[in-house]
Amino acid sequence: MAGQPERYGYLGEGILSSGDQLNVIELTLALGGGSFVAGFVGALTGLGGGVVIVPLLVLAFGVDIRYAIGASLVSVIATSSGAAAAYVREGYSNVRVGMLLEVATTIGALSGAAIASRVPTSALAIVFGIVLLWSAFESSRSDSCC
Amino acid sequence: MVRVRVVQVGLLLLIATPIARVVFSVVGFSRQRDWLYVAVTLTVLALLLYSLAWAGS
Repeated sequence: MAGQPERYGYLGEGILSSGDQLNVIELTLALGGGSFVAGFVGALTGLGGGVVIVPLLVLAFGVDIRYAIGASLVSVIATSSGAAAAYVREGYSNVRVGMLLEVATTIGALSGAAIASRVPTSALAIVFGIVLLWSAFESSRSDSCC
Repeated sequence: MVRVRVVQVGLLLLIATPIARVVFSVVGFSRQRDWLYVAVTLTVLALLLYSLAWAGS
């Protein structure tokens, strides 16, 4: 395995994985570092890690965007659970309001997932890009910070 | 393919975490006798169980 060029199942042509220059340890370190940043930014802003993980996987590692979205959704489970526990403990979260919102968000997530498996990946990428641009625009516009 | 099965058990545990959190919310709201929010939380739980069991099939 040492230095042996190896193809990983989901990895395609990306910035980091375009050659065979990554071995298992380097790949694990790159993914771990990127995911650390993703969790950090996600918990800080409430956007969730997906905003960082999906572009990282798609652009740097060449993963199909559908697999990348799935991986980021699964990783966000742990991120948001841990962050939510901290927020509830500090008293920032209103559990009742959250549960009421969750009825609607669960229905939205179910329909979104049903649509995501039927549309082409290019459409998914365009929607993802628009949402990223919009959130960047929104966060640059709001100057009502502490 | 034991390794694949181990990964799948881990994923299942990960997915079960927020569902367990909703189940405990039902218990908590019913202890406070807040029946409106017991109903709301049970709706969420039903949607989650639906997505786990039937969606995508």
